[in-house]
Amino acid sequence: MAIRRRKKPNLVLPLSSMGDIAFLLIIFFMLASNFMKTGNVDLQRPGAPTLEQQEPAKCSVMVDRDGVVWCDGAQVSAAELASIIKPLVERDRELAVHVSVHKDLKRDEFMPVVEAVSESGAKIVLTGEPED
Amino acid sequence: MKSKKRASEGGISPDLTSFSDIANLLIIFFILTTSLVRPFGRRMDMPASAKPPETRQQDNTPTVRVTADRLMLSEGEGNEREVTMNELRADLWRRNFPSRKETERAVVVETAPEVTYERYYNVVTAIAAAGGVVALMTE
Repeated sequence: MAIRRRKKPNLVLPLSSMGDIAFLLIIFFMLASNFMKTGNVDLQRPGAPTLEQQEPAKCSVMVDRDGVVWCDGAQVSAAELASIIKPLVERDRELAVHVSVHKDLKRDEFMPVVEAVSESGAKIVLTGEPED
Repeated sequence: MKSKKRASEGGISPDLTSFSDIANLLIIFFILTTSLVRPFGRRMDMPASAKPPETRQQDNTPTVRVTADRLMLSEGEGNEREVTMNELRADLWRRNFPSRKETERAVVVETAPEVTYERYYNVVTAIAAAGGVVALMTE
């Protein structure tokens, strides 16, 4: 008796809709994302009880635990900070610069940075960790 | 005739596997590099320190002197008293800065060299939360 071999079903996954969803997700991330330019900066923010959630930073200045100053991910000196931020303020009068400083730094390490941002004419947001 | 029709129906289906692979790689890239988290902080009214604080001329401008272990609040000469952080906050709230003119909202902050940023941060955010304007004192 001859046994008929069953035909293997030809499975085809419809991948076009998956690609569509993937591209919609890409468009969402492209529009909503704000790239982390400062992920490599090692600092611990100070805590304070009266903090509010802020808009994502358009320009951020960070001072890490070694006192190194970073402006939008690039290492700069406190002296040149005002000259970097001033042109940005001229383009956008409402520019708010987020300043993040390591909590254990002493006055002579953080004050020149705060003063430089203040002198540039930008609005200052001092970032920290909320405390209860 | 029949065979012709069959040939036209055999549609072309492009291989979309690599296409979706690229799309997924892009998604992973965006997920890893993006930051959707909104930071916490305090927006400061901090006029440029290059300008001398005119309000310093007034005797009754509140001045907070911050050292490593003490907070001294004064208004005018010989009127200095030690306060805790909570007392400072309460004092600043009592002043009702938002109802005052901008020139009368200044609080001078004098910081000693040994003061850490965390201590300074607590003082200036307390002033900003109460509606005050931080006037930086430089030597």
